[in-house]
Amino acid sequence: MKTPRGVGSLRLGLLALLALSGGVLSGCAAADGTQAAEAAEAFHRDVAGSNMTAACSLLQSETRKETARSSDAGTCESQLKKAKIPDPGKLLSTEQYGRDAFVEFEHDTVFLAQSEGGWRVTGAGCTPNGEEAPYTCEVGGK
Amino acid sequence: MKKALRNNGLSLFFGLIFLLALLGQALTGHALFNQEQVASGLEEISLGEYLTSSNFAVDVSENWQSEYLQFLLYIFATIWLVQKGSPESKELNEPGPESDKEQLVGEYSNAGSPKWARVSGWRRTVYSNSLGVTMGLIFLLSWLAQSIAGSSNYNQEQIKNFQQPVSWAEYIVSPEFWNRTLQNWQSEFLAVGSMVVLSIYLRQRGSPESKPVGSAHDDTGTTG
Repeated sequence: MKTPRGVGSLRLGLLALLALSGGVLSGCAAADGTQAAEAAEAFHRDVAGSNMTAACSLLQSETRKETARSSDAGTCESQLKKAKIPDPGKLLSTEQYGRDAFVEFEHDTVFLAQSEGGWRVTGAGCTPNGEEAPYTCEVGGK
Repeated sequence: MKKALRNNGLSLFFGLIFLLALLGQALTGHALFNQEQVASGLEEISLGEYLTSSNFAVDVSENWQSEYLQFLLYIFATIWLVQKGSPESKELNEPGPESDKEQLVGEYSNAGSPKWARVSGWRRTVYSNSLGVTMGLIFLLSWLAQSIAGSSNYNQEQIKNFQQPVSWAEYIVSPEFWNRTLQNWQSEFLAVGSMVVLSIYLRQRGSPESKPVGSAHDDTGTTG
């Protein structure tokens, strides 16, 4: 009985497997989410201090446009003022996967995405709707 | 040089088309990933970022694990199971690990036998199973890489869709993990099974994967 693959390709495959495992593991090690959590905290700080311009600058660009569109006054700032974003309380956990992060506070959940300028909020003031359903967010979200 | 190329043609050919296909997968995967980023209103990423992403890693590793599983099963199943008429099978009366004489080990080894085939004890046992064990190890590592990269990739999608991420333990019992796994397994099992059966009745002149063109359909274990 024969197999159609040679020793050379096996060796190449082994090297590639090592490279792949290294890539996977280094990707996991680097993803502790601290910076994402800091961005989520900064967003909440700005909202609590009514510094809506700063808070809007921490929204991901599409989220910012969407937020402005949903406002009567047509600005992101006015919509943030109107939104019922809770006082988040203590930071509980951060999970980062590649360029996406999920930050849980005592009273809020924030979704973020990485952009060239750093971490940006894609959803804040989010509450769960059961296990599989998407969260409902005061700002951003679906 | 020319002789070395000819003597290693099979491994060089597969090594080369493997690298070309992997390159093609990387480039098209990068383009597809960025299409989806733009559609979600997110920024595009560089090729370097894509190559170290879980998205690329899961797509590569899920195919690798199934290929190595295929060969692993084939290596072990063909020790014990035979198929009448198939050149992929041993003779019908030879199932099992065979005698030392047939396997050229210990006192039956010859001058060209590898050292660990000549000695007795654990080294001979290890060497006697080294192909299967190595293929099995690569299968397990690839499958583990698939589960780690897959769970990260799945969680990125979850977060993009404003859903809760899952743990690795939850991921490896999820429909997503098993669907990725089984859709690869079924195609490998079909390919091996059909090769075993088709090679009973069909021929490819000159290929050692086929019986000689004039062989009878019930000739087993002969190669052309």
